[in-house]
Amino acid sequence: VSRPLPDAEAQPEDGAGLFEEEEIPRAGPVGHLVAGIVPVLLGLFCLVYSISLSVGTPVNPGPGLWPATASVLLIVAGLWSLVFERHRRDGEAFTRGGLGIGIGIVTLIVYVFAMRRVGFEIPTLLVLAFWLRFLGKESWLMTAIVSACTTAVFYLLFIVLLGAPIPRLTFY
Amino acid sequence: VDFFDPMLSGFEVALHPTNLLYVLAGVVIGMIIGVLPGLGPVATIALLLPITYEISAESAIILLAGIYYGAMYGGTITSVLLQLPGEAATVITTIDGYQMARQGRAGAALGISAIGSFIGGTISILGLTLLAPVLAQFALDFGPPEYAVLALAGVLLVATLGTVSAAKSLIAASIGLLLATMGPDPVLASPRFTFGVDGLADGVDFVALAMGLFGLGEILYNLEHRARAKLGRAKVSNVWPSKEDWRQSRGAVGRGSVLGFVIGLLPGGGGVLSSMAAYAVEKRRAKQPERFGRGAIEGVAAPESANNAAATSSFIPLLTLGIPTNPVMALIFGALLLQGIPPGPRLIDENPEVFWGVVDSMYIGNIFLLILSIPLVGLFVKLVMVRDSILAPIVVMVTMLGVYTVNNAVFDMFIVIFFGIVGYLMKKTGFEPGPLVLAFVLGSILETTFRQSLRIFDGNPAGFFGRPISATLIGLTLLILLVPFALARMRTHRQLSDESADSPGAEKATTRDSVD
Repeated sequence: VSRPLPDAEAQPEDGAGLFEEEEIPRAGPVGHLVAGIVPVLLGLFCLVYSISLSVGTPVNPGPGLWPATASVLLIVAGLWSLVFERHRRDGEAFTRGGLGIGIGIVTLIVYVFAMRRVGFEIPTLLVLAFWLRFLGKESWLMTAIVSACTTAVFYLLFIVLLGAPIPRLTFY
Repeated sequence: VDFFDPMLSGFEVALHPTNLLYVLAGVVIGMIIGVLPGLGPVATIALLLPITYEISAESAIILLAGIYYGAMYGGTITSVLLQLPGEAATVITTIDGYQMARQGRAGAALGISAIGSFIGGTISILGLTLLAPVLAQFALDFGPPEYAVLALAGVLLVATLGTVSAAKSLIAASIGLLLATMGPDPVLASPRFTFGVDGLADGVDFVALAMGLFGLGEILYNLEHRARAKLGRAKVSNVWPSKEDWRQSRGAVGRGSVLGFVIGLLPGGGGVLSSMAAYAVEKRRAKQPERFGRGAIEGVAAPESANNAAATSSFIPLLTLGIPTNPVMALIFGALLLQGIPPGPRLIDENPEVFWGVVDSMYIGNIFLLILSIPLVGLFVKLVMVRDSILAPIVVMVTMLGVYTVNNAVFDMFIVIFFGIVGYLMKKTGFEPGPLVLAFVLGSILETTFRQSLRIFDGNPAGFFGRPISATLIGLTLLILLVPFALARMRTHRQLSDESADSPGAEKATTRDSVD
């Protein structure tokens, strides 16, 4: 698909990516195939589900008519991308850096469960420290200072200033 | 008189000490996050949505608007001094801005971009002040079919004017439309796509969705793309551009401002697209285009004027029609809904303090930015030293706690994590989350008005062409969609006939050019 602006094409749209362009390799053909097929499959699933909700008639639409329309749009756009854009190499490969991101996500899920049980203070401190020290490779000193100060600021902001009913540390 | 009174009382709102503080806070936060490469205005506004819920509507929007146009100023500073665009809308400024800095003209580049931004912003606010009430008056006659067409145009144009491939943007937009259908059917109230999960009974919460895709997703993506700034020390000496600089760039400032204003009105147009378009225009009409890329001051003046003008004019469709045209406007749409104020043509009359307060605060905000941006340059450059490894965990924790405070729901925290993963995967695979969020916002408008229209037309979609306003809107949309396509086609054709004479392989090469 052509663009009106040739200059726009040459520029990466993300500032941070500007210098890392060559460091993260482009995705291979399998990666692109998966990225192309997933939207089509999702569209098919939504279409089947929408039809099961009853589509109705144009004068008297059922709950499924609109989602079915959107699903068809998704399938068509997905197929279009799959067929006509298979030479565009705009996906990135998953590198070792992706592992750290996976671990980071796991810590956030643990955080939500922990916060409900023991209040937000200690989990916040620990997750911050983990991200700083192990994902960010900061020094222990920096980790201690930043995580402690941030937790204190959060306490002031959310509890003292905004009075938000976030689960808090309780002493039995 | 009818028009000046509410406009002047808007200044009362904007000049109220509390709101002055919010304008100042907004533009300063905007400049700061504009400087920080890991955090843009979209992510920041998404993160601040829970906090805006706690303050009055006009203050909330004044703050968020300030962040948006403030970021356009901030991003410039690092683009010029460090060749490190803090913000997508200033990527194009790095080309000539950094060259100017290397030639010892960093001051002139920063000075002209501050002045250009101020002029572009102010011209655009004037346009907003004059045009918005007229447009809102006109839009009062719109019925469901007109809104259906407008919302559909919004979704389609965002997809095609975006920065990534049209098909991929359309995929993202359709997923947004489908996500918007989760929860009760708007007419029959029967559950859809809830899969028996309690937390989904009312559909996906907009704030959680936006914070996940824009906030967490962006952070996760940037973690992998950690920008290691090559910190060259550019000296900023004389920040005022010389007479010669001004003479050379005033045309670019004017053209950039007008172009930015117009592009900002279009769905999908915003800071990013307008800055690139303005640069392209200047380069094309320059007598010596080879100067561009080697420190041409017009290459800084035009995009910087344009991105500020666009940031302001993109408020017009939102505040008068209730149609957000870019991701930032989608977030501000969400912020207004959180406050119980549906944006639309009635906003000006029913909530004049919000409308005029916000518009008038922009005049003040731009003056603040002009005053602040030059003396604080040194300070802002130091901000780049804040490492992503420190910034990211703090932002992530703000997201998690912030989203909880909106509905006091743990479920929303899981939604954020889920959409954080989705946002990360989308960016990895070449999709943009912007069209998804925009279509999510427009989705419920689109479905409701579409169904109402079908009822009006007795089930015959041809009815959309039978009403003068909706037919005109369809025509305009098709025009905007097809003109760039036709232009590119013509260009390819010309190239083809030029080159096919030279080599037999030329045809193949040019066709591939137009596809990629």
